Amino acid sequence: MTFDNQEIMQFIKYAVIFISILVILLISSIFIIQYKNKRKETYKLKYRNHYSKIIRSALKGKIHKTEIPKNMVSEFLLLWNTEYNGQTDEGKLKLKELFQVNGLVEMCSVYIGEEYLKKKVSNIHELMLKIHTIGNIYEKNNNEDILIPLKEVIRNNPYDLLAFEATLAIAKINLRESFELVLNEVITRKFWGVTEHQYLANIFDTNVIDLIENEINNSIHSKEETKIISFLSLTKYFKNYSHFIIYNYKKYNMESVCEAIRAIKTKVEAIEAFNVLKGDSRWEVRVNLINLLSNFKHSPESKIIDYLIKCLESKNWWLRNRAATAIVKILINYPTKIQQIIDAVSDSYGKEAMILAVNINSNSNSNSKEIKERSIND
Amino acid sequence: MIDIFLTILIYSFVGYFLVINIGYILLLILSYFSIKKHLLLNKPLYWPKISSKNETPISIIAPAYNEEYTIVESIKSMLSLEYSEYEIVVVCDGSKDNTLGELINNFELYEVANTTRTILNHKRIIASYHSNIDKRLRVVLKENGGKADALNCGINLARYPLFCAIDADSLLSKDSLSKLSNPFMNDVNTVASGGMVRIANGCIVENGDIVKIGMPKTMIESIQIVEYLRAFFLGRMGWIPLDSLMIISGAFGLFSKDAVLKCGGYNTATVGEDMDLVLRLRNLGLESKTELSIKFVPDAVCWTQCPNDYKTLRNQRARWQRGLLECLWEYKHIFMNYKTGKLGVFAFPFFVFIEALGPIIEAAGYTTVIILAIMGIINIEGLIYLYILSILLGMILSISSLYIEEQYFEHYNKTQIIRMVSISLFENFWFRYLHLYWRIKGTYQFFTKKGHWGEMKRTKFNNK
Repeated sequence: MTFDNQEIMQFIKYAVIFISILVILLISSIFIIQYKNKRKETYKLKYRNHYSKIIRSALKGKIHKTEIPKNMVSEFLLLWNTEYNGQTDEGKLKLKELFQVNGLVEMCSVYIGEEYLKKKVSNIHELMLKIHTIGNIYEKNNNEDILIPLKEVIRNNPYDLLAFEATLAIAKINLRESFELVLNEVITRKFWGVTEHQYLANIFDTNVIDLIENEINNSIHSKEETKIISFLSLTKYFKNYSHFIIYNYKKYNMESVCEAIRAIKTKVEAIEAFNVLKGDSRWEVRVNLINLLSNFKHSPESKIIDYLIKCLESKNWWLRNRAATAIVKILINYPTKIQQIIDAVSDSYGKEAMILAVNINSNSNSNSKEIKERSIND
Repeated sequence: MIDIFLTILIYSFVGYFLVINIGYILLLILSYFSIKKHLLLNKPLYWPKISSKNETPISIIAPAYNEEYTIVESIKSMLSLEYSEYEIVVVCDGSKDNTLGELINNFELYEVANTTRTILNHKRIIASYHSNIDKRLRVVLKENGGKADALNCGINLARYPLFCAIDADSLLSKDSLSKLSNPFMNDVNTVASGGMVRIANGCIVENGDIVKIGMPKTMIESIQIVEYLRAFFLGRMGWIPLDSLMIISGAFGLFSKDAVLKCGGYNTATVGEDMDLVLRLRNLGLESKTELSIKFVPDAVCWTQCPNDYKTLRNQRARWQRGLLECLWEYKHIFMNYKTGKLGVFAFPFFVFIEALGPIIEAAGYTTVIILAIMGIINIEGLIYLYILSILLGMILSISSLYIEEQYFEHYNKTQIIRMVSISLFENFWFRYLHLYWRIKGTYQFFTKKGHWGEMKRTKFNNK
């Protein structure tokens, strides 16, 4: 018997020819892509120069940052810098002429949903730049004529890049009036991550946060409370808000409570936080609380030391170690008390953690050396 | 009777050959679209990054065994990562060379008392060290117990809720940790995410950072670049749309410490501890009926050294094959178990029939066809065409991986691409069969319970 099926042979031959062509096509397409990428780089440079020229001639100044990190896709970093765009009133006026708002909505509405993906990225960049610059030049200038098209851009763009720029611009122009819109976008935009939130949160000031605090108190945004709190925790003024979260800590997610603890800067606030949170058994909260408490001096007989001793017996070793470090740090001038704690701790791991903390500290402190020597002798 | 038997045999081999290639091509297509989707959803920054306070802290665990040539550069690379809070735990697994000495000299280590509570069992810790230069660095010296044992020790020492297991001869890209942790931020069910491992041989390194991507001088190292691209794009990213990823490379993976502790940590009884852990996690999800998500992040990159001599490569590949078989045998209950979803119905059988049994079936196929050709039973011309077809299909997979690489990641220049294209052709003439032999050897070691981890020869990174 022989396997000499002509049809199969024919099929294999065709398959070989077809796949050979496919291989050649694939190889050529790799080089085409490479060529395209190279051209894109050149185009980016040209494009960047084009905008640089316009801005430079408008402002009659030098562009202060010409070096852009290679890994940054944007060629507009230099233009996006508010320091540059909003330098002088004269500059702002000229930029207003350059970046017309008219037609913005129509231009942006082209890039809706999936369609966006098919369009050239450079066009999107141009629009992003325009919207961003509008935000910069009209910053803190409640101009309804500008806000309306920007709101339209948000409404018309389920896709996030342009909507983000528009939200950012609106927030810059009139945050007090538009914070609800911004918060709504923060809650509903599925693909906005921490980076987007950070940029928006950077614009928020204490007054607006007070307004949001009132709204949360009145349970207007009850369903989205957690998301808003996480967002607010990124603001520069979170300190003003942390007090509120700590007193209502059961309502908020763990990350927010931890952020709130980390934002505390004074001893009075730290003791208040301790009184509220001492019963919370979550290790994440405890770690933050221990770190906070260790920043201040406390009496050897205070409840804080008792709390730290209790943490020494935790099943989590990172908690024990932090508690031990905190005790040594707080009681550095009371070597006898430290020795008493070491002797009194029933948990052997807790005891070890204390000895380790003393050990580490002993390099820099004579009191600790004394305790260390005593522990070794014992 | 013999006629029928031979007909069935030949058609079975041809059918198997078609199934393998169709399977790989489907994976390739899935991989292409899932990378595209991933990169769109994780778009690059259009504005300068503001350092985040919301990143989950990570413990990087680097088990080190005889890594004196690479350990310092690796740790430097780890210390310069762009991530808000992380620590590095180096576990010296009873190295016979000067690994610990290098660390002590370069990072001013001082000995501290060890106070670890043992949650996962491991060999005895001999000494613990902290660094005077950087507080984030801790080193422990323990008795030799293998990679899995060292990783378990590292997990006990890890302070943070996520831990990243990496090889101590690897260099991480600055943003790799932040990218790798993104799935944990976006999806609370994520328990593990794997990153892309690329070959560092031939690259220029400066202060622990890859400053110029190059190609190694030898053929055997260059082949591995193409192999790694193929393996990661096909074998990892391709399974993501089916939610059936079964391997996260031991060289670079991020895990939830809680989940790993729940499933008992790394299995010290296997040499495929990385795959075993992923399957353990999957198993945990199935047993506890909780939804667990395991992700792969193609743009989180770790650069690692690949073997540059045949002996080391042979041991590595035989070990991988043995590890694969051990894992598949251990979790055989997943095979065709419809309750496990796509994992049990598609991914597991694919790994069994194509990855694990592939070498034996392929070798049997070659032998049979050659014997039949010599006996004049099958047409020589047809055989030649079939051989050309198999080479072309092998090339398609390699070149498509290069296409994905060039389309989305652009790491290599024109000359390097030309070299890799030619490699993807020539590897089919010799390396493929050598690799086949090594894998058969690994299979033999699995059945005879012989074999060991094998020594990995290290060389220094090319410093600028």
